Amino acid sequence: MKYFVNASIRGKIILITFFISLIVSIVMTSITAFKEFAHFSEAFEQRVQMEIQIISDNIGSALLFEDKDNLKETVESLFQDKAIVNVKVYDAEEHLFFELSSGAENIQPERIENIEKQIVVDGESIGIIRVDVFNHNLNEVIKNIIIAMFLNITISVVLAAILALIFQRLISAPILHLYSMSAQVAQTQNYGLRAEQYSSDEVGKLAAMFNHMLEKVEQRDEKLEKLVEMRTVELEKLADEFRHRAFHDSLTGLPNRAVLSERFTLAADQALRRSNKFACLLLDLDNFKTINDTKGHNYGDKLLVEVARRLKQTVRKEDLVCRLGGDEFVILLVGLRTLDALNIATRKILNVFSSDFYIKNERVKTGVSIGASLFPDHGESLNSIKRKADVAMYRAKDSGKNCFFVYTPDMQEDVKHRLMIQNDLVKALEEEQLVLYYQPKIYLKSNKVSGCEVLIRWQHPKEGFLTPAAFIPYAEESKLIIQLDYYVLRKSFETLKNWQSKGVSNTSLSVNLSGRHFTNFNIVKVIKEHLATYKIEPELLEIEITEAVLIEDPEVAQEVVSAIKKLRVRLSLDDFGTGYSSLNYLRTLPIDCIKLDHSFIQRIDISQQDRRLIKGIISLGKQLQIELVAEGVETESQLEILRALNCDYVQGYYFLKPVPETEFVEWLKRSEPFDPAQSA
Amino acid sequence: MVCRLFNCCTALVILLMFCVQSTAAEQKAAAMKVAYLYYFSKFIIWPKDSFANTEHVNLCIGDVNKEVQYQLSTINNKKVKEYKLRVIHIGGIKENFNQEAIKEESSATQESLDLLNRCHIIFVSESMSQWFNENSERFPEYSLVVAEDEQVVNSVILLHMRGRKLSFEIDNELAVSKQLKISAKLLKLSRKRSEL
Repeated sequence: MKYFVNASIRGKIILITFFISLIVSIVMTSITAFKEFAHFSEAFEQRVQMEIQIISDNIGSALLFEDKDNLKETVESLFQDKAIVNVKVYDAEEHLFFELSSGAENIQPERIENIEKQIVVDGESIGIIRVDVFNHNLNEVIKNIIIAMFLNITISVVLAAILALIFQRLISAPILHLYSMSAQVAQTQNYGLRAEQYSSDEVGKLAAMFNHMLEKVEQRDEKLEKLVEMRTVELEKLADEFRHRAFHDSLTGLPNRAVLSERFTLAADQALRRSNKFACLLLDLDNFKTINDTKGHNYGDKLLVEVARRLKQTVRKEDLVCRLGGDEFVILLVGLRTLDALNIATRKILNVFSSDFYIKNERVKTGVSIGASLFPDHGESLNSIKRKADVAMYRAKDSGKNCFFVYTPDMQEDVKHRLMIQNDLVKALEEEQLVLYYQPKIYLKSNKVSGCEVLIRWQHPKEGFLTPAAFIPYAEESKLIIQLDYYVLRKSFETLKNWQSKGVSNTSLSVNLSGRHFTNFNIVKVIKEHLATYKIEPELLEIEITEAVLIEDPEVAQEVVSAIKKLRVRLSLDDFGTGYSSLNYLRTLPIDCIKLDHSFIQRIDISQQDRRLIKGIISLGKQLQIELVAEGVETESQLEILRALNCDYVQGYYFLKPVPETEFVEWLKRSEPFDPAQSA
Repeated sequence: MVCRLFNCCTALVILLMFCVQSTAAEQKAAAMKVAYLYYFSKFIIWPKDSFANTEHVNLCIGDVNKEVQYQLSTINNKKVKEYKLRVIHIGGIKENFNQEAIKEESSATQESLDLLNRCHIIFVSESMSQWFNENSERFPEYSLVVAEDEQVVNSVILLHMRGRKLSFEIDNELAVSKQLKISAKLLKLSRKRSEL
């Protein structure tokens, strides 16, 4: 069976034909042989019966007349037929009257047949003749039949096999052709090949389907090839883009740090070879963070693109402008022979920023702080050169921005200072080196202290007394501002509790919070815990936020602000008027108070326009039922103008500079109610 | 005395046994004769007109002994082809055929003549051979004469004992002349003898 299953179609056809012809010829030959045998037997029987009948007819008279001689003479004629073995004649009473045997030998008793006939004379049975018959020819006949059968079967099977061998091609040839074609297609992958269709039968239909399938595959192949080509092009484009992205800044299209590294090596080699120098300029946009926060990232990005464009236009072709990220740019100015060349190039860059930028039909002004270092004077590796430029750039920032500094070794101290501040601040928080200072907020109509702003000072063990400007920016950089704010908040609650318990004052405290708090709800949780811990009326706490810090994630920030407001804590908007969307925040945030930036107050006594502006803001605040605090009141004239402008609250050095708690408490006791004359 | 008596008895028994044996032989011989007469009828074809107005094959028997008479009764009315065998005893009417009776043409004579005229087979025993010879013309032409005596005229079959064997001989020429068709089988047997 396994052989048959694995046999070829040709073999199967021949085998099937062989077996069918074998079975059919066996069946047919057997039927024929059986018929032949039956016919022979019948003929034999008929013959014997006839012979016996004849004898029976002829021995009647002899039996009647009991003439045994005559009977014997008649019966003996039967033995002419060798099949007759023995004859017995019985009379009417069935008494054996006569018996005669042929005397034949080699008779097989089991094959002797007994034939009996009535002896009839004149229609009357007068006796019986019983004849034993043995068919001698039967073996011969069977033998002949078997030989004939064998010959028939052999001839039929051989003939069928030969015919199958010849005619199997009619079936197998198209199939083999189809197989051969499929093998060829599989081997060559040539789907353009087609099988020949010899007929319209199943095999022909199979060939047609095979061709149809090939056609489909070919079409799909072609489509696939096109698709692959298209994808390849796309991939190549993508690869180019990736390559470009790998070496370029995606926003501005400027080369990135990788290109800088590569070009630095080349520039260094070149400088060494030509014995000249090249400069590494590190540029940081001034106030970019504020612009980005207030105008939005999209706006900031467009500004960066424009800055990049201007920078590229400013430098020479051989120079390199890179963007490292954020608002940091690096420029490699190669082939510098003198420091003047660097100065000239840098002035050109600064000059570029002197004109305003127009982004989204809006004018914006930004400066740039540039730090420069020289190869090989300030280092030989990119890292060292860039670090030096970074130091110089911070010097430029510290020096009022929008300026340029070339690195000098003494600048290293600035870096050390920054690191020192950042490192020591953690310890300062632990050891409570930070001290809270308080500045009163005066309600002009009653001349009473309506509250006070909490400010911080650092009593540094080595550096001495540090103002917020000396360490807050570094705290902002390192995120220590969060812990710092928590510290101030806790200390403020302690102060409030202390004042309440001692009956010092029931005035409120305003605490400044960094914008970093407004990205999650931690600050809400902290305030809530403190309110519960210190059992302080929420209205006694005022949180001062700047409008700029709320812009990073406006939605979350608004939710956090609202959550704080729900605690019944007061909210004030600090540095009002310096931002870009101040009025909008008045509409969207649950503000209780706005603190007008001191820059407005400084010129109030000399600028009519500022006065008008302040008047408008005061009027707006009243309309919105929001308190307005004028910060930075330093002179009496300023105070009087503000009073004339109907400003309700003021704060500034004119009343009291930020002072430690004890001093503040003393002042508070003295000034209740506040007397402007006493203060002056 | 006793010995004589024994001898006498023995002789008597032997005599009786002989007598019995003799009677049995006679009985068998009579049966054979009658059977032969019956069998002959099966192998002989009479002219068709011999069966006009009758459905019988008439077997006319003259003077026979009692054994034969008894045996004849066993074959009376037995079937012969499409007919039946009828035994007609003509021994009693023999006297009606004397010359005077014939001259008077009595009704009894006429009846006897009619009876004789119907005989298909006439068994002529030895005792009536002479009578038959004298009156043979009174029997029909087609009648088969079976005689025990060779002297009987027109005898087609001569049935006679030869020793202890009953045999018959057929005069086929005579039979043909009498329009009797005798089966070849019978003719063949006529040359043979049967043992008793």
